[in-house]
Amino acid sequence: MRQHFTRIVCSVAFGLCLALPAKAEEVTIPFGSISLVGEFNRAGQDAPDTVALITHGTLAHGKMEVIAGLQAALADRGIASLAHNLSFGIDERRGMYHCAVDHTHHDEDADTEIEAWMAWLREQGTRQLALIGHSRGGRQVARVAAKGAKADAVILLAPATANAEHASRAQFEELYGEPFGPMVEKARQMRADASLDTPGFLFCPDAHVRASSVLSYYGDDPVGAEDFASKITTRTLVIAGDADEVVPDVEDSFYDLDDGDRLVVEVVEGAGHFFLSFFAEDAADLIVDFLNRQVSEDFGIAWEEADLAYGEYLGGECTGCHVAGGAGAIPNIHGLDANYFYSALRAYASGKRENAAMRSVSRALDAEQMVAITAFFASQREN
Amino acid sequence: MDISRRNLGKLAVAAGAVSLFAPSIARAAGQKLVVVGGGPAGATVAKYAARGGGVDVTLVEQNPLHTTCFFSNLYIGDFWELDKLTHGYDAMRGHGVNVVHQRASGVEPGKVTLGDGSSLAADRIVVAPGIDFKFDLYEGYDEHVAETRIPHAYKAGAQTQLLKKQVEAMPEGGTFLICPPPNPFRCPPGPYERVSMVASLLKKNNPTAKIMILDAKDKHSKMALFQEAWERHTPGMVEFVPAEFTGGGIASVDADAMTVTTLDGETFEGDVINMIPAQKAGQVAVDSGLTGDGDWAPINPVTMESTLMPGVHVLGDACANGDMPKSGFSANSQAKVVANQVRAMMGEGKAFPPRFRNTCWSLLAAEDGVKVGADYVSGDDKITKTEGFISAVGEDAATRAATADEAVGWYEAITADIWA
Repeated sequence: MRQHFTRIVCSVAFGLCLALPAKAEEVTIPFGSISLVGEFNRAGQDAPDTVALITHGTLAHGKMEVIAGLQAALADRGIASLAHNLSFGIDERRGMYHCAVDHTHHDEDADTEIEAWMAWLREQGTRQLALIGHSRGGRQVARVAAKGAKADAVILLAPATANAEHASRAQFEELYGEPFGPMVEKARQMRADASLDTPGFLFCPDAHVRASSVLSYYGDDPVGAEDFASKITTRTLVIAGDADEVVPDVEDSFYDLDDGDRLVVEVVEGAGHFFLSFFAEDAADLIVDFLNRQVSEDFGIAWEEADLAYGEYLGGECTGCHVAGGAGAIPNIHGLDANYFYSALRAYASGKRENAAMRSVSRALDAEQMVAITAFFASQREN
Repeated sequence: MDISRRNLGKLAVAAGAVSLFAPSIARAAGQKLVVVGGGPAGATVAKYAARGGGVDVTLVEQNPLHTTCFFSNLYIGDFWELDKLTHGYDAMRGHGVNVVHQRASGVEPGKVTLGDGSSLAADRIVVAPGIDFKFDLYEGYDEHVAETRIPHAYKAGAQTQLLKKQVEAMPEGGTFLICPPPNPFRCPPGPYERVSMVASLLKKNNPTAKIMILDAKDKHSKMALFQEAWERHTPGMVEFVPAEFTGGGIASVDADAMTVTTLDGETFEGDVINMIPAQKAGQVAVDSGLTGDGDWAPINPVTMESTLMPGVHVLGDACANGDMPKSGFSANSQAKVVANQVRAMMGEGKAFPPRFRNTCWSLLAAEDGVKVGADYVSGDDKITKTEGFISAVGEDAATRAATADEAVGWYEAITADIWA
């Protein structure tokens, strides 16, 4: 119980919180002997029901433009998100990776960090957890999901494909003046924890790299996000930009996997690899649509015709437990999307979602009352 | 259900009549509602009746701050801080409610008399004074003894602090005696949650101490859940003595000897004694004749209007609330129904069908919470339970932790719904 006290103090001042634009706050969580850093944008909610966990690309960070833009666009649409910085073995790492720092990290390290953040979000009461990954982060997210991580949705934004990895290896010699093969051979003969000087490593020239790190990034034949995606059972959205020059083959690589249901590929016209400015909005629209489809149906109800006065009266049953912004394990319900809210009520009534109190509440409502209550809370969007 | 619909029909006609024949008068005059008592029932009804305007609402409450009884056990168990139980009335004024910090000494149709002898005129009155105690049933027990030696701690505040201090200062291996009251009483799981919280405190500070429950009843709320939890968290610490062996509760209290004697004539000694007396409606309801010959105020199950005094509604713990338990949740739920009904009677908006609900969370230990709840409708002559639920014995730890965390969310929400 103690761990929730800080959040309660925050929600007491909720009236104020709501009036402010949604802003990200930095969160740190312990991870082994170090701490991980993330930017949490709660989208104006104290205890958001749905949170997207965003993983950045190669040696980047959670405040890079593509990620920050996406977070802001999602928050505008009422979706909370947490953009974490992969640590690369560095305590409280922020900003781009400094190439002068010795590389001791592995591509797979991302998986345990993503899982640590997922566990933390679940502890915070997140019920719907979406994993978003950009570029190499997209491939890492696909791998985590393929291993069975309990996400409710997976979104791969310009994910690194096998072809893209082949292409970057092919560029190695062009960039650093020699092929990467000898570096890998040398690493294979060394002790895993010994270090070697390399002509280049990822985007860092003349890098000092641990042997096991070299093998992690260059040792095996490239595996693409699409290879992992074929093993994901969670519903997955892949977003490609048709002007992406870094990973130009996203649409092609996922073409065979797109079944219109479990995995869907969407293409944003004109977007490059980093989905700058308006393209972040386009991506956010696709993500929100996808999340809503995931958890709700469109019932074709004309919410605007519902009896809001009746809904407000009936909603008195809800506000005794649901404070605006949410608190403890009881989530915010103010300002939720009507189809989502209505789906959730029906899911509690049918037993698809389990909570004894919500089962009792939802079963005591007839269809007209459910519509009125849904329309009332959907109208309670304060920012 | 049919009956309540029919009653509603009548109400709608009555409300319609007001607005047909005197709409401008009703609005221009701003009909006056006076609410007596600023606890969960009174404060909620004041706030909700003022919402939407058109009704002139005055809340009469003696104290500048309200300390909630719900969650006060968690303070005793070291799971909650005292100042987080306390709520003021500033926000109420922001909702357009006129707050008068005085004692209400009497209620009659159209008029509330205050402690200073002045009075407030009202078109309708809501009376929500909570509970008072039947000290006269117990030889040797009165308010003075409760405040100084043997607290009931069943109105949260100074006595809650006293009780916690006494438990903390208990000699090693000492005995905590708790005497739960007969039905009906405020917060049916309350005395037993208190046992869990005291047990939790003793487990840390005084693990060889004992807790003895001398009950006026044979059975109590969430009994199987509590007993399972006591055995699991503090095996051997808690002993439950039902009415079968107490003769139905306590006959007398000796504060000097620190003993209680049961109706069966057996005397028990405690290092700390928590004597929770039998209860009745708050004094102003009794003094004003709203309880008639009984302990609680009889009401119409649709409007919660007194069956003894027209134009006066009684809700919360003080009313004879049918199947509903006396709880903060019930009070808040009833208040929203009454606010809607009263506004409609005053020509503001329409009356919707009454819907009542209660949920009571109890904390058994850290991250071990349970809940019980039900919904209710207006029956022929009382508020009637339709469907309920209760946590199961042997639930997994994750469910219990989530339920405990729900309680925290509920406290935030309900106190905001009432006082913010």
